[in-house]
Amino acid sequence: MRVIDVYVCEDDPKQLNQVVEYIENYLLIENLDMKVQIATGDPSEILDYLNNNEIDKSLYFIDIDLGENNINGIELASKIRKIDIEGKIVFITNHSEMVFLTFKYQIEALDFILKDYPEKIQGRIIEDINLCNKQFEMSASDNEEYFQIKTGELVRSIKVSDILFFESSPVPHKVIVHLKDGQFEFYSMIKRIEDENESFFRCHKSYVVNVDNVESVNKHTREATMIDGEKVLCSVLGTRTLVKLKK
Amino acid sequence: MVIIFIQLFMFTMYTKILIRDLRFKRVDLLFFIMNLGVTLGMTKFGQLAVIIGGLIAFLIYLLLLTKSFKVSIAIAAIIYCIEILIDHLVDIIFRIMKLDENSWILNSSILMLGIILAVGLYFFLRSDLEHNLQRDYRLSSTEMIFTSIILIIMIFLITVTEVMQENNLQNIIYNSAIILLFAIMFVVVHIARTKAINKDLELREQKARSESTNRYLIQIEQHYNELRKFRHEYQNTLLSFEEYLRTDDLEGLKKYYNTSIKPISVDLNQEKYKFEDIGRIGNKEIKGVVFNKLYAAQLDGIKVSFEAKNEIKDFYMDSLDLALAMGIIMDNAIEETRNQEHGTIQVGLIKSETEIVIIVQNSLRKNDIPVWKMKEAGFSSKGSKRGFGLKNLTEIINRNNRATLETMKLNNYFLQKITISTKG
Repeated sequence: MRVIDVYVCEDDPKQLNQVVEYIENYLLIENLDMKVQIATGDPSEILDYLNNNEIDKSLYFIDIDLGENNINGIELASKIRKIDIEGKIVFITNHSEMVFLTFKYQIEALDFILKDYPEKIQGRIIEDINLCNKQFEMSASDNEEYFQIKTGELVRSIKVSDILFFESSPVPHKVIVHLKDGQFEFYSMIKRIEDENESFFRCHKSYVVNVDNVESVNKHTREATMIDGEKVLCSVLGTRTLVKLKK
Repeated sequence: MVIIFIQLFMFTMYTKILIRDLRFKRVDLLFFIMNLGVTLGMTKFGQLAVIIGGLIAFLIYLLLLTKSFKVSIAIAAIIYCIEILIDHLVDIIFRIMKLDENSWILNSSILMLGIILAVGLYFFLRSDLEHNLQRDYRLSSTEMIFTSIILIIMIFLITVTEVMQENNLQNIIYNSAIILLFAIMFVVVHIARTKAINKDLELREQKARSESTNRYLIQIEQHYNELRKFRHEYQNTLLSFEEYLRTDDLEGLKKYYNTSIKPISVDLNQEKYKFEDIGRIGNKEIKGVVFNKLYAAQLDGIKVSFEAKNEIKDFYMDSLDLALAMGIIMDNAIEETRNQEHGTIQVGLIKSETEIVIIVQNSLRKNDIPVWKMKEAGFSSKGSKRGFGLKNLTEIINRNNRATLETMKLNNYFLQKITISTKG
């Protein structure tokens, strides 16, 4: 197993040293398989390194306000995201710079640490190191199947077991995917989706269902009921095939 | 005999156009048979009996179709007027030109005129309805009843005079003139009314807009005052610092810092100005809807926050549509959070290189209702009203090809997201 690389970007040298010290102390005590690869005040140093080296597992601590540098921490983080999809990003910020939704949904940050409470920073850094370790371990032992959906810049990985069905939108080239906990639209074609996974079956010209998540099929009304109770229309042929598939 | 068929055909045609449902139904066939029977059966009792019998049959048909007595009478009155008008016009022309009245030319000209008028009516209604979809344009009950009564009296007078005095040319011309004048009057009144309502709506919109601007100004003023206070305090603090340093009183400085400065700085951190980022929205409609909804939510005791890191000027879709969609989404969030003890709503506008993401996230009470059910029935017990909003939302998203919608239930949060692609 390769080590997890830690990167820190903070423009204030004093705070940079502080954060690095917290991290290195903890790594030393716990003898964790991690090392601080880069600690810098210059965001381009991290980007250069990422662009020129092979990267595996990484944890980033990024300050939002990078002072004189021409990009801020959020921009740095989204640039990192493009190179390193799996990396764990933690923001270090003060309250007035908090942009909670941006951290969570644009960057998919692991956490954010508030500078306003200096006494809590160390504890939080330790928590995040542990959380990062745990998540990487889990994804290594994870044999869940994933379905990748490109929405804008991000590629979303969705567990196939969470997918109930796909529905074509009245608007051409838009497909609505229905999940266990919600639904969203993305640009694709329903006829392309069936072949993407062997659990998917096109039961109607505008529906592709995940056969594993079909609860029951009603032959008379020609409807498939999903495990969350939502009903999906089926064609004559689709009903027959789906009944056979469910046996 | 042929004329009866033509009349029946025109009755159905006009009804279909007026109720704006052109599909053929079984009721139509029933009406045909029923009316044919009535007409043939009544012939021996005279013209008046035929007319009244036909009218009753027609009313029953309309009632079956519309399920509303008021609407049926109004439609019947309108159609009878049109029929009389067509009949009279053709009649006048034939008499003046001394053509043979029983020839097929008479029937076909009535049919032709009827179809031409029907097509005209269809397009008029379509354009009229497209422009005036809002509720305010609908006729009130009194208006409808009053107009219907006028039309009925007129029809009655015309029919009776004509039946009693034989159909002589002068009468027919007078009657046609009266109907024509009435028709023109109705159209003029309708146009004038639409214009007045349009103006009224515009005024109301302006008023709402200026109110929201006022609220915004008051908020800004408040912030400004706080800022001035803060500047004042800051200057005083600096002066005290200077004094401590000048006298080399380090002990005093420490004490002063711990007792006077530290508490203030904690205060400062606690309260981020909630609406500070709204200034980054470079579009009036969007700014207005975000500010107003969040302000309303705040008044309801909901904790709100708004974030936008980047200036956004162009939203790459119709801004009125987007404002409408955001209004619906934020109403959903408010509706759900209003009755929670510690409800929160977070709104964020995030711009990246290829898309603009609008996120509305609200706290959610624990429930096992799947998202599709929440979408179907709406958020609250006021199901039907909300459902309408969500249907509208889907329509808006569907007519803007760049926009996609996401609805998710995550732990104790409900997330609604609009993503607008800015590429290409």
